[in-house]
Amino acid sequence: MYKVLIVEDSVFVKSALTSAVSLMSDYEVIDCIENAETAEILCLRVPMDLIIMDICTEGDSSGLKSAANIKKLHPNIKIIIATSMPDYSFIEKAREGGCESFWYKNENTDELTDIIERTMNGESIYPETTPVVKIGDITSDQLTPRELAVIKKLAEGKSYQEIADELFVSIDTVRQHTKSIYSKTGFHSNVQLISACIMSKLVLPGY
Amino acid sequence: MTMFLDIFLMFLIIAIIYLILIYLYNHRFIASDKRIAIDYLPMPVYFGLGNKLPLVVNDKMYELVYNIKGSPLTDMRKDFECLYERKLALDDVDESLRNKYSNSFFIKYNDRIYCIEERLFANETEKFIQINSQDITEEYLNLCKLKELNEEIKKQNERLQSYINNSIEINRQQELLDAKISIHGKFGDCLAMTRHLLKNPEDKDLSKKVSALWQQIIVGFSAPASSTPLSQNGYEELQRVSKMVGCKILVEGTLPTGAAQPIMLKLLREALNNAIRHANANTLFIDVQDFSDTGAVTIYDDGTPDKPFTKMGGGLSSLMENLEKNGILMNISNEERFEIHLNFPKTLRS
Repeated sequence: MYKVLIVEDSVFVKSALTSAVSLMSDYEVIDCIENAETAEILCLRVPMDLIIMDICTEGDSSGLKSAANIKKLHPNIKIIIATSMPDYSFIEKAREGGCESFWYKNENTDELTDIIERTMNGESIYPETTPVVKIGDITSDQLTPRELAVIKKLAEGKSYQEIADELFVSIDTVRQHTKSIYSKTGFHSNVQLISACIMSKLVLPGY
Repeated sequence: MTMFLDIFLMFLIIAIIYLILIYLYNHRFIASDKRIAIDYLPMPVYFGLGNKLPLVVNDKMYELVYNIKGSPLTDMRKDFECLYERKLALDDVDESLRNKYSNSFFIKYNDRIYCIEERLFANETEKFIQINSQDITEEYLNLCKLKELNEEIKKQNERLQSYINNSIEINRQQELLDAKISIHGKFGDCLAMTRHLLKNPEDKDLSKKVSALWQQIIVGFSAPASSTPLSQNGYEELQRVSKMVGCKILVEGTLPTGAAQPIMLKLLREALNNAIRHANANTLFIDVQDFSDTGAVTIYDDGTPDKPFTKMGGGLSSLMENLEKNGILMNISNEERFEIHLNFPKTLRS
């Protein structure tokens, strides 16, 4: 019997996930908690095989950060990241943290049970792309990875110089990327751009 | 011929010597030249003897003091005092300027900003006073502009933070709505299938499907171990988890609520994590007896540390940074046992 921990702060989504896992044979939900950092504590002494981890959890705790911490201490626990946020960086961060699989939440829990089965059989399931959202005059897939990286850093409140240092490019390159983003999206200021990206959940600082 | 040449050379030598002397005379450095040189300095300067008698004042300083004072410069101490009376208040001068010109004060005259500094120096026999002034108008205006821009950026950041919070809240609401729609959909399916089953009670396949569907919905509503929203009772969840991991949380007093609750929860999670990981503790003690009066909280555990505490790890350091941002003081003592002492500000005590 596989022991499963669910980390989810929405009562209704929690019900749906618990229901889906409970109906699977050989799977038992040992607990359902709302905060990702609490999951780190539970892993220290409670044996478990799988964690279904939300990203934005109660108290603004990041499921991605906690998943990475758990993987460092307990590499045998498999983790499936479950989110409805289309932030382009989440898939990459989940991979970097060592999470086995990634699921964009939807009402189809059969998709989740399939991912759970395959993950426990040793597969790693990741979506090929992030959901596409509208940003100004374009859709998010029309932005290059570098442009998305610049937007993410801007949303974190970084200056052009700090962005240049962190992305290992010159400040002129950062300016060039920003110009290109403006001309594609039709925005004229960073505030317009960042608020549009955050409203569409393309970037979510802090997670 | 030779004599003519000698006479010519002699006149030539005399002419050269004459020209050199004229040149030297015209370029000699006399006291008035020193005075003119001081006038050419880009900043107002005032030198005087230790007994306050003015020695040298350049035009710029003379003009500045005369226009402020309205009378000639005769007593260096009075001249300095008349400048000091026009000193700008501390709030009117940016902190970076105050730090840069730490021994100076600032005055405003004719829409220009001057920084004034008095220096004392002495040779073997006499003492001298020097008053320097520097026109820092451009620097001052740039800093004012920078301050305005920083304020604007701060406001933009606040607006951005509010957008982020709204966005997260909207997402939560959307998840809630999606889940509700999904449950309503399942209910609809169930009702339609049950209705169909009632019309065809002999259909065993349909009966199984309907039963499974109802089971799924009923499990969904009853299964969660903590179906109450934790944002309302996060302490209870932590208590429950602490029992599950075999490290009880014992609280003396009442844990804070309101604005202090999310901070306290984060703190307790970090403390519980550390107590189990680094000290294999079985109990975590929280002392919050006089919280509303003193804002004091003490946290310790009954564990035995696997190695002596020497410095804070990443978790504690980032927690401390986070606490300081909220105005909470955190201290660690490690004499008899490892203890965390916190002091919450008044604003977080209600």
